[in-house]
Amino acid sequence: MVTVETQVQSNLSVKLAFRNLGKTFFVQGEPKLALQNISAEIRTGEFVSIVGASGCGKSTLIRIAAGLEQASEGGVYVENKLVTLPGQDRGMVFQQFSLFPWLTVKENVMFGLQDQYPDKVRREEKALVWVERVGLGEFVDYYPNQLSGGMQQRVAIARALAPGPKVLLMDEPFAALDAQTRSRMQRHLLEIWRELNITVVFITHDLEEAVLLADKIFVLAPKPGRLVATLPIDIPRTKDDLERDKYGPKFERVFKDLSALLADSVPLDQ
Amino acid sequence: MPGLWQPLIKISSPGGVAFYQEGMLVEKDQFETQAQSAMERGEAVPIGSPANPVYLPAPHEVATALYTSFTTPPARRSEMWFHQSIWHSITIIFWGFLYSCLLGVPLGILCGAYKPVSQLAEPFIEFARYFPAPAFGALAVAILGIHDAPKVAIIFIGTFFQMVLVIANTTRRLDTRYVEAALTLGANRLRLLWQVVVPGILPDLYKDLRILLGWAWTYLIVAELIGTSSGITWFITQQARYKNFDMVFAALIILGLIGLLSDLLLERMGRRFFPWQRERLGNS
Ligand SMILES: Nc1ncnc2c1ncn2[C@@H]1O[C@H](COP(=O)(O)OP(=O)(O)O)[C@@H](O)[C@H]1O
Ligand SMILES: [Mg+2]
Repeated sequence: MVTVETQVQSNLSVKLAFRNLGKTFFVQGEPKLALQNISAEIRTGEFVSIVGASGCGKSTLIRIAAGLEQASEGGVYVENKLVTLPGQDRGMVFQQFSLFPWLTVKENVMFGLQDQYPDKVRREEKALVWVERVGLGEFVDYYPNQLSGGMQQRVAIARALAPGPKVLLMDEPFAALDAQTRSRMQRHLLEIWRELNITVVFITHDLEEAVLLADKIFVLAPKPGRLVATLPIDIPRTKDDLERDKYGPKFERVFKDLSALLADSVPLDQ
Repeated sequence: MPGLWQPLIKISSPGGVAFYQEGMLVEKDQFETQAQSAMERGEAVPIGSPANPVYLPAPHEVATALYTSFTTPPARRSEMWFHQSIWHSITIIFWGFLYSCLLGVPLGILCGAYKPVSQLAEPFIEFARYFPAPAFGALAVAILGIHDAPKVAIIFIGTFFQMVLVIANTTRRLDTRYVEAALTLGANRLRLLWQVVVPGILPDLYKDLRILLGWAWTYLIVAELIGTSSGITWFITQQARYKNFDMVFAALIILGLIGLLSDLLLERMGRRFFPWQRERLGNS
């Protein structure tokens, strides 16, 4: 009984929070407001998508969460601790393929395990488990440029997850993939998400992808980047409890709502 | 061809002039004086026809010289065979370039990776690279003596400053996404430098060094002229003095071949060093 209760507790607890977050870039001395007063909460195990027009600050937001960029005001909190630097409690997958080209698949995954497993043999074993998990067991000794884009992103996911982050940050990870590969990767990601019960922040500009995957969608409006809506998606996950049926009537309606929201989110300064 | 310039006379019969030989090229004035004095002495007058000096030997002569340059013993016992001269040149290049790399590569990478280092070192290097390396010749001889050390120093000076700047730039060009990916994977500064920056720039660094090695060869000629002239440059000046232009061209061709072959070899080796740069294996 107690265990069930604590699990419910932790599932409902806030894993990641944006609190009055603002970001001003200085371009040739001129301040440029990129993000304004963003507050939102993401619970443990939630799959959250962030959508918005290009240039509205999605990448900036997730980069601040990763610790690659500093907030100008407010900040990002992971388990109530302010993020200041990158750390292994947050894994990141980039849109641009960013595997280290000079390392093999296995060595790429081993990179983030150096502190946890100083012993190389143990580290290798751990990495292999992750490579197998993303279904690339036979490619462990390949170099990234010998792999297709989809395979490279699988490795990138394995590499990000190997150190055991609490949050997986993904910045348009599948945008560069062809449609077929993308839909396979979407399913694959959901499987991993289910299995690990990890919190996922997933940026996309593809609304269909957002509705297909997310528990909750944050809608950003441009100039300056603001959070204009938080849309919980309550369509049941009909396919193996993973993806939703994108041809169902409910999907259609939510998709239209979301499109309308985005169309309304015009720049403030115009 | 008659009528063109032709400042020389090609001897066809030496006549009474003792030091003339058939086929020898002599100056017109000298020929006339010698002919005059031979006539006055009542000896046979030398015969010859106008000719041009031979700076450009025929291809087959050069081809022969490519072989004979190696088989001709040195004029004096203290002098070197051709292959010894070549080897000597190569060792000068090797040591000069090695010292340059030992200092220039780490400094270049540090300049490229850390802004404070670059701000400290690069203004000075930017300034220093405009010193023409040959200008250090006399100084190098005064400090390092007349043998190989000042020559190695000239190669070093000629390549070091460029090397630091080129490598610093190559380092700066490393895609930030690798550094950022490493940061999200918990890399500290040392790990960033050793496991990301260094391997990340390695193929480009290797290409830079190949180009810089070409520069080292251009400084070789200057380097070998200071102090006691040596190596392949000594051979070339010596042969030019004897007007053995076929040998001069043979030496130039050998120089070119050494450069070309070593670069080809280094390129091949590069492919071995950096297997990740190979194209995909057709396995998608
Ligand atoms: N390092 C930077 N310096 C200056 N401006 C930046 C920088 N990074 C992003 N921006 C600006 O901030 C805005 C948001 O960019 P970004 O977060 O990349 O948007 P998105 O990912 O939604 O397309 C853009 O207008 C962009 O030009
Ligand atoms: Mg973006």
